[in-house]
Amino acid sequence: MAQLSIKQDQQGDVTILRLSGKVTIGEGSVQLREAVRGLLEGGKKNVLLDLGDISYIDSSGIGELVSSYTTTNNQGGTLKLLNLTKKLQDLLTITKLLTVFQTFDNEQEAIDSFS
Amino acid sequence: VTDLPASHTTRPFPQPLIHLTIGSTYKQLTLVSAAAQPVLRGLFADSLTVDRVALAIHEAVVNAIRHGNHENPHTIIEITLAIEDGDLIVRVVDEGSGFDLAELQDPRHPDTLMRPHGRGLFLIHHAMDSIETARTHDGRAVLTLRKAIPPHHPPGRGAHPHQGGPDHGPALD
Repeated sequence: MAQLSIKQDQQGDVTILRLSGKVTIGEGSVQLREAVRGLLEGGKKNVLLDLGDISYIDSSGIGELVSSYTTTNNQGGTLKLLNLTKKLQDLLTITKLLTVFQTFDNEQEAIDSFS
Repeated sequence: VTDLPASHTTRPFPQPLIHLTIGSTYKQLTLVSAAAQPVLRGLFADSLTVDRVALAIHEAVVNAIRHGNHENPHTIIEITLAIEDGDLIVRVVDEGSGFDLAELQDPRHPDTLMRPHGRGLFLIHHAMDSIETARTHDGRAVLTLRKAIPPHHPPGRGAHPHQGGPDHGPALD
């Protein structure tokens, strides 16, 4: 069974990927990469990652968030984060990546921020 | 690998709380986490510390699988958790040639901030009080992590008893 499940939800021009489970080396990291690249290839460039149901993330998962952010930016898109767990917020603070990502606790505010 | 003083490398390893021997595959990380989590919850009252130390152990094993044993499933990794002088000690032994801690780059630096890799050792450093590298007498690489257990939370309380057989792990040179 996959350690990460990803559900896609379209809200206007914004595509929300709802992640549930683990984003770790060898499993979830690759799934996340493929999901984001699939969106970009399909012309969906406003990407919101809902991370509220992430149970575990490691340095590989953090690296994949960075990589997804960079890839999206390089293709003229925007990637933002929604519903950071306490653990993820801690890790992004430690690694100073909170200064990079735009993050939201409210989904509607996050969606509106793309327009 | 940094040469350690003889006192560090010859000191017998304390009685382990956990001693695991795993193959070098990422699927084994779940097993390591399942074994370590109850011990960490017994040692550290603060859930954030438990999460950080658990992640440090995870990252140390990932490092051993990836860089030490080059993801060769036929190689093994030994993981030991023990308590010594009021500290939690985590020791991870792989079959690689080790690495130089001095080469660790700060992933928070503007030049490295957007790199997809290079945060594992940093997160270990952040979570633990000290990191040391050494070698076993048969040449395997040893990474030893140490974290002080808060005095209000007595060592061993709630921790699992010895789970991994009678040995204390491989002797160090």
